[in-house]
Amino acid sequence: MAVMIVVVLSSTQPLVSVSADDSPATRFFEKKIRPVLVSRCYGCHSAKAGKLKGKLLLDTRVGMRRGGENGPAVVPGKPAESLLIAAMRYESFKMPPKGRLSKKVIANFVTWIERGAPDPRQGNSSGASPRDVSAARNHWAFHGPARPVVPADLGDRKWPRGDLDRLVLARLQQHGLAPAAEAGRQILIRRASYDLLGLPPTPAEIAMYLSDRKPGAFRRVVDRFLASPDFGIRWARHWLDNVRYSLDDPTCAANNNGSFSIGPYRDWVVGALNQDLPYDQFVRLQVAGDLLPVDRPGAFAADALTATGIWGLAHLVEGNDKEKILADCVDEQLDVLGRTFLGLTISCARCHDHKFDPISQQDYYALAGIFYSSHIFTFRGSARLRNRVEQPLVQSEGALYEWRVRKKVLESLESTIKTLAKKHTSARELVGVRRDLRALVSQQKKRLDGKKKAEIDKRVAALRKREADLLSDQKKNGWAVVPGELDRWEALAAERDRLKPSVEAVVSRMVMQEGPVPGTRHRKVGDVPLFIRGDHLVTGRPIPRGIPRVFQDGLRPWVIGGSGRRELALWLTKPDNPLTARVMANRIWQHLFGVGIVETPSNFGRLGRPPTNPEVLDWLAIRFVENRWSVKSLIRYIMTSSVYRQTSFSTAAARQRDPQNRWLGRMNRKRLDADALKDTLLWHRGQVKRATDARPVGSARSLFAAPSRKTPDTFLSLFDGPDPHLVVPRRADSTSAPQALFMMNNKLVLSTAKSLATSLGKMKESQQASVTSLYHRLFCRLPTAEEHQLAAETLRQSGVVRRRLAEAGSETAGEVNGTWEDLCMALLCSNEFLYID
Amino acid sequence: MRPGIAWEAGRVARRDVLRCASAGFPLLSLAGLLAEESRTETVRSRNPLAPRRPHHRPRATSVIFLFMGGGPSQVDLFDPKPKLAEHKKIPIKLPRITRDATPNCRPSPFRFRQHGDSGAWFSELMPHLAGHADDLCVVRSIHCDQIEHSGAIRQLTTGDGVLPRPSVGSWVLYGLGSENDSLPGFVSISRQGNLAGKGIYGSSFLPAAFEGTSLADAKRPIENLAMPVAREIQSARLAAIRRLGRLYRRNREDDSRLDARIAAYELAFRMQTRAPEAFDLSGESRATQKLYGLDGGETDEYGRQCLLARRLVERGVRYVVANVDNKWDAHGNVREHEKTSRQSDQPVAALLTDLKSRGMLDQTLVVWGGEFGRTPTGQGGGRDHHPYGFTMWLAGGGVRGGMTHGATDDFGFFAVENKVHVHDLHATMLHLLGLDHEKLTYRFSGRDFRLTDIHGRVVQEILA
Repeated sequence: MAVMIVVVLSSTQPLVSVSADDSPATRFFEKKIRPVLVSRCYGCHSAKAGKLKGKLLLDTRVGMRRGGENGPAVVPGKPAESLLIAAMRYESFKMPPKGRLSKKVIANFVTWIERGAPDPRQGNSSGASPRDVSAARNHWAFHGPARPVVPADLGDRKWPRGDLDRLVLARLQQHGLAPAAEAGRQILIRRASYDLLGLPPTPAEIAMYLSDRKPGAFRRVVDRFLASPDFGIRWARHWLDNVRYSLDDPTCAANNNGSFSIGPYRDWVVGALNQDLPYDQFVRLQVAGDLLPVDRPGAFAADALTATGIWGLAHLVEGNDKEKILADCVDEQLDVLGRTFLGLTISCARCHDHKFDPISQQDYYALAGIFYSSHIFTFRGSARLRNRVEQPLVQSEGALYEWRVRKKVLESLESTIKTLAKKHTSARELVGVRRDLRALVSQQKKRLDGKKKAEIDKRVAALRKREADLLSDQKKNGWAVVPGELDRWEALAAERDRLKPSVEAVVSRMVMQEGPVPGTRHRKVGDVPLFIRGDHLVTGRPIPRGIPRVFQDGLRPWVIGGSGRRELALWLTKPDNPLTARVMANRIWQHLFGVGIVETPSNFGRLGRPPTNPEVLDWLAIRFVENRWSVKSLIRYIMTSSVYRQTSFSTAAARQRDPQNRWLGRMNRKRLDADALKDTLLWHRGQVKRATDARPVGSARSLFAAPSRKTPDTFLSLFDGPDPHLVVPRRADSTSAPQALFMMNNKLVLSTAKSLATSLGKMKESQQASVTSLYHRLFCRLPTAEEHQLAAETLRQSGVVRRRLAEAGSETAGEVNGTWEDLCMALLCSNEFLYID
Repeated sequence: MRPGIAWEAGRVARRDVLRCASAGFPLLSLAGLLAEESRTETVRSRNPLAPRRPHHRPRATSVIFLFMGGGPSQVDLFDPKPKLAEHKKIPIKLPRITRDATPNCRPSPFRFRQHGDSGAWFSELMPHLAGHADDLCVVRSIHCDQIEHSGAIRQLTTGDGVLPRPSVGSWVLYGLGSENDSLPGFVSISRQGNLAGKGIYGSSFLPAAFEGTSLADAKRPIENLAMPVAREIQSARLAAIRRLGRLYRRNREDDSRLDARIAAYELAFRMQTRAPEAFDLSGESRATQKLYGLDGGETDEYGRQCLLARRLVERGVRYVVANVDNKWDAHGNVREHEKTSRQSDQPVAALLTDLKSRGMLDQTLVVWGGEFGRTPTGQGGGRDHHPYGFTMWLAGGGVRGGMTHGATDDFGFFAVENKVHVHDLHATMLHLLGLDHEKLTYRFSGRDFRLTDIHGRVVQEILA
């Protein structure tokens, strides 16, 4: 009988219609299986369980076969693949946790599964039901941008300069609003200069714009600024905010930070923006620069390799557990991938399905597998010794070969010299001493004045003493002077000095490589198991690498060669990816208007804010892709629109209707951010100058000096600068007393005021002309009569105070430029200096 | 992402300006003014430091955290283990609990005695503190998850041992705001080298306003506080800033940030006068200075920190950290603890005496502890790091004095009885301040974060 059943039931197709009958199979289930499930399993694994564990339901047939977080509990006909059996045998999980089932009971379960696990129980398995991906797709961000219908007739033919303006105007009219007037030229050029360069315009640039009466004058201003290398410096900072950019990483303390070379990556970002590298390529190079085809055989895509340095910015946390360090590193990489490139908080799904967005834990580990199959750091044996993967920055395989040869030669030279030094240091010194002596003695014979003679006598005496010491040492230790060896030493040293600069001139930088981190449990490129509740010690079933399910069309499986980064890069930059272009277009908008159309630039998910003007965002994203993903072109288009050129002044009525300026009826007033503030102060001191090279070297701009994870920068945190530990998609804008203390008392501001005052003093102009010059330099405009008056009054009052103090005995109060310094300080501390209209 | 404080702040009506001036220090003491408003982000962003209503009636209004950096040895200070001496020569099977091989039990070279009515145990290294036996709640069963300094410090000061998170003080400031109008709400004195970075005082993803003000040491107060010119000249500059501000405001009346910034200058100017007074210890009586051990000797440095902590709390500062800079890290010789005890015992006891005599101890929660303890076994001549069961104590602010809570096993390897994880300590500290650790959340990167993450239990047993 038993044999019969096996033959009949061992098909992998479950028997669906054995319920409600009295077949032997059902009897077996009811007698041997169900009672055990009820008494030993349902407590944690049933619909009635107080707290469902592992998302596994054992009270229905469906639940049992679908399984929980780790895969099917029961695979009919295959006890070896059924997690239930492994768990009962205490091989994977130890279930039930309170005590092992007897061997006999387990054998019953094996028999039951071998027979096809006939199971009459009905009911759906709610706890483990997959998320409804198709419903989640309804969220706006998962639909590709739709080309909006641009209204043709809005009654206002003058204001709109293009379709962007028409879309905005339509929205404004819909809310009973009208756009603000166009800002004056002085305001516009200051705004444009800060937005594009992070620095004020030069007096010559202002003069040129003011005198340009031909149509398209502002466009020419924008073009000039876009062509300036300072554009890349300014906009690189925006990008670096999103990738945890830091100059160093103290968690590599064991290596003294020797292997954290991020400068070339930063400079690549600057260069890419300056050259207007299409954004899709910008993304592809960072995600998979090492895997993309090169132009000609033998050439290195040096830039492409440098671009992958982005992944080296993930923290390597402290600790002794390699797997934990790796899991945290991959998590930060996925966080940047998700938030920065896609505007999605993917890393929420590390421990559980995303609570709000259609990102399941499986999706997380599908992506994680890609990053587990690549590495940018290695362990040197112990978990506490890590090296970032570095490569010398050269342009071709030939150059790399040559560099390696030179390095090798240099190393062997150094080692030979070291051996020689061990034997002949004293001999070499003796020869040198004697040579110097000969030269000095011959000088002694000449006629010399007393002072010089005394000096030479003194040196001769010292050398004779040294000679005597060396000779006695020779006697004692018995070394010989071998002229041949000494000549060889000299020759080798000369060769070394010739070679060394060419080897050291080649900088190294971090690069991403294929293959998992050596020395971990991951041996080869491949899928990783899901970590149950994010715990890297408790692993579930392997998850095939791929993109989140919500983005899959369900038809084509992912074909992966290698880690999958190449495929990931290509998918990210497919023109129909609903997020990539939108997210970047929104960032560009945010940097120009102070706030994005989506106010949460790195969260386009359900917990982010919906776009205030969806049709504008879609339109920009479509235009962005159509214009070959040109960042500069999109910036130029937005900046030359009428929307951008509005004043930041508002009428009471407009404020009342749209207090937050959601409908864009005016420009937002922006505070200088930390970098722009510091650079401007240095600019007025003459320390920061306009860059002349697309890849600036030795620039004093703050981009190149900060931030550091090792040494927190108080200036940066004071003015809401980037935190090198975090992804900062949008800077805060705080107003605080410590900021005021900084402005009034810090040397940086004081010395700027001093150097401004000094330069005015040198010009020896009238008071009126000096005030005009100050306003021109600091605010890019001429002072009004009222402001002249105010300046005069300030100078007068400050003069009175200073005179009184000087009379009372103060030494510093009577300084030449004192009153002008006071005026300069007031102007530097003023709101107009800190805000951009 | 830090929330856009200003984007909302920029749109607040003018009458709210006084409330929204500051992100570093609030403009006015506005207790209760905002209390009736809901705890929404928008309101919060106007003046992040305005005093806020706690979740429940608080037992303490401020905290002094005596941070015993380096890891003081529980078995040499509070948790006597006679079994260690018994097994000095007898090999027993030791649990492998440290990074190095653990060779032998190392008995404490210091004598222990019971003190006070409560009969709490103190070793001879803590003669002054022993006098406060009946004020202390000694918790002998603290444990954490990190075995290295940086990780353990991060866990003790932020809850998370691995990733950058806001410090406890920042959470407290975020939850309660500040009562002081011319001092920061959260001050951290002295730094723990570079071991923990900004961890001890950093706000991480909380708005920068909640970051602690870090003083290099008790003698060097807030940065940029010294006026570069005579007061009269500074005042003339301020007058000019004010005038320029008025002019610039024309046509920009809707932007409250502008008035707020001018107000911040006014406040900064006031602080320049008042804050130095708070940091100036010379105004204290000879007797007080003597009590804290300000005599230029061994006790001087930590004495200054403790005295400054009291002065700050007295002036409404919410959270103060006084830091023994890694001095407890006795790997080489157990007797290194003698020196560290001499440096800190008297100042700590003085702080308790002083707070008590001023009637401040009831509202001030004092917490003493390091990032971990030390192994009961030897390492060289000293002891290694030990996160599995160590001692901390709390006093004042709604804690039951004169009790010992929890216990380690006979050898002091593991906490075994009434275990208190660092998360539980945090939950309890917040509870005493009137905050529910499960309700004090901040939305960042798409989810709500807590100081205690998904852990933490208020240790009801030690509450008064």
